[in-house]
Amino acid sequence: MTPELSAYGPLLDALRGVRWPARRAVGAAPPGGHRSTQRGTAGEFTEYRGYRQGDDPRTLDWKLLARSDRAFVKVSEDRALLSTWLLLDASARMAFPAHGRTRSKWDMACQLAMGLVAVAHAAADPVGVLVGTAAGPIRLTPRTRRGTVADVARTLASVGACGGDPPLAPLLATLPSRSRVVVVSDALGDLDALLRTAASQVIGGAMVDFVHVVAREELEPPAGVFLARDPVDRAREAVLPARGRSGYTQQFAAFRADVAARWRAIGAGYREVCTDDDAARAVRAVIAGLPASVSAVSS
Amino acid sequence: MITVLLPWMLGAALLGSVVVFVWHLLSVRQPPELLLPTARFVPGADARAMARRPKPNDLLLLLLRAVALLAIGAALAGVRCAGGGAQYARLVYADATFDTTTAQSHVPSLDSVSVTHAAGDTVGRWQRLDLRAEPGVALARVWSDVASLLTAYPSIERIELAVVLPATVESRQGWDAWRAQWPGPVRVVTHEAGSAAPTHTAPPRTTPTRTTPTRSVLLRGASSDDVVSSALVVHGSGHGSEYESEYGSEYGWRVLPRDEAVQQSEAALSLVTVARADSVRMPGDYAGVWVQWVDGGGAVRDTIAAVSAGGRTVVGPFVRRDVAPPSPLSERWQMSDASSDAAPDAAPDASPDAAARRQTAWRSIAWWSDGKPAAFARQEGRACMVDVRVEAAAGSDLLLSPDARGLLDAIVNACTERGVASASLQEPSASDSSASSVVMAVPAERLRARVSLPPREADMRWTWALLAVAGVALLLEWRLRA
Repeated sequence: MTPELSAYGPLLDALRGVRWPARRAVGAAPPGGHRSTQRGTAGEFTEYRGYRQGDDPRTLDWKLLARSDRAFVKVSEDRALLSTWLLLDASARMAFPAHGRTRSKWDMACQLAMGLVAVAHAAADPVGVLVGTAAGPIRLTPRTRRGTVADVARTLASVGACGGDPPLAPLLATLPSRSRVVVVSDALGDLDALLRTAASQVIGGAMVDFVHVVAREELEPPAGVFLARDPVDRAREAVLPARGRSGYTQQFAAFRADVAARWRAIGAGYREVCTDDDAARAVRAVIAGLPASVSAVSS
Repeated sequence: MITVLLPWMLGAALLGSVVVFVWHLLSVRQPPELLLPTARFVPGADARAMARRPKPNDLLLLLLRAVALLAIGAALAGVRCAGGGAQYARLVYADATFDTTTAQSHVPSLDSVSVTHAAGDTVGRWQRLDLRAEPGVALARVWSDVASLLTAYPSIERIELAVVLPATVESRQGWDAWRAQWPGPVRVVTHEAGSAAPTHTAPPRTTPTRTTPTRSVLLRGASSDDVVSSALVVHGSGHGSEYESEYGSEYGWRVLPRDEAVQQSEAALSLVTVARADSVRMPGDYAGVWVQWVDGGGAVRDTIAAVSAGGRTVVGPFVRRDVAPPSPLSERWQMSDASSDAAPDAAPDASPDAAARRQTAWRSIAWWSDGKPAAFARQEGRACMVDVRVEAAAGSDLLLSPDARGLLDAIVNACTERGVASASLQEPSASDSSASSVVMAVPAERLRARVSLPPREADMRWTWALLAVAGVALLLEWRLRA
């Protein structure tokens, strides 16, 4: 096990055996583990169905027709591969909190990415990673070979410090539409453009999930009076009072609810993950399509 | 020696320095910064918080600001630093009863003043005035003397004003009126020696005597439309009493109360005769007030003047005439018979009938705005002689105004005794005998502005130097803040 991968050892052990089925049938693709929209004879037999006008006569079970004088067609389902892309936000905001006592949003994003990569790779799905950094995007094309998880770990380790405010929408637009895309971000960047691009991807057939990473310190800022300053837009500052923070709490909650509603409105999945959540449970929640807290209870 | 022209300005600078010091005890600080990605959801609020510290912060900035404030305040306050040779002037106004040459020995406190300032050059001036009747004359005269003194001695730093008075003076009204003009304490020195000079037998009264409403007024040598006659008729009428007048060739206008028969023997001292012509002479056995108010007969001249008497001042186009006291041999005051052979300025008579033959020196009873006398009075036996040097314009009603009542009162009551303890003229702050002359004296620069004299060149150098210090301090403060 490489040093980069060893940091994720407990997580990978906790996710062993977890399956990540596609939310809907996959289109034409090489044979894989996901249900395909393709129907044919070459595939695995599933059931008989009465002949209906227009069915391909080649699908008729002629032997059954001869024995029972009834026309049935053999129905079979194809299994297909599903490419999985992970789009990670490496902006300066993701480095919060930076004091090192608790997990940062970027660290949580890496944990989620490694867990999802491991689960997808275990199902023999090609897995690729695209990281938006201030220095430019870091792309790891989807692959199924051995060592892919380690490659992803090295790629994430190469990102180093988060910085800047790289846009994610252009990166999302470059991904193929017939794939599964998981966007891991704090939704504080180019949210509107990202939503528009994701909507076009969903229309094109992609399965888009958005994992909203929220820091515990954002939900409950530290006690005391602080001059809150945006890490990216330094001119944006305001005093966070010691008491009477209901205004901030209400606005932030309204923002999160709005983000969830907008992602779900375009047909994408939405999960909110807090930095103090257990990473394995958070991955299971993302896979199951449930909130992390519900997944923790169910597991 | 350090002198301050405007002490309140220096006090204001000190107060400003205290404010700056308190300001440095308070610090406005920003709360610690927190890099919060969700800062956009924090409602806006004041980004400052006030804190108080036990010790002032930014000591260097505090020092520079205090220095700048004090330097500016000192420059505006006119702080001057003079060497040991600074000149010190003393204006001493003594009552005429004091002898100039022996007054210092009569007044020991003035000797002590001289000893205190023996290190510096002392300029002393003595003025002999008739202060017993009206001590305010000293204050009225002081400004012209200050102007001439500062012009003659530009290096004078401080000026002390001392007034030598007898123990009892007649009035303090003029003193109170003029006292506010001198921007400092006035040393009032009293001595019984002054009271030994001419006195009256009548006991002193602490309240001034008002005009007797039933006084009879005789006008001689006056025309029917004379302004003085009109004023005195109205003045003598009292409070609403009706009078009738009769014309006589010898006495001119005679104004008598209608309901009161005036007997010469009873109304002798209440009789007021006003002579409006030089040819009219006072009879030798005259008893009453004889006013020699000679009509100049000139046209109206546009000369604004003010006459102060009896605590009131009347302002109008008066024409000032000779201000010198009447000469003993003045033709105007030669009596019409041989009963007035005695010299007017002779010493008081100690004979048994002194009350009838008593003579006093001429003294001022009214003054112009610059302190020069406008009317004189003296007592000669039972007659009170009043010489008025105020020439009113013909047809003027100035003497009918309420402000002119003071002058008329002073004329008709010229020889009425009034008494005020001169010790009461001394301010409580200056009455302490231990008060040094440094405290009593007034900075000369403050007086220069009053008499419209430009400041000295050396003083401006101090001002510019202090302003330069303030500028340097402000520049350094600005550099430190930058």
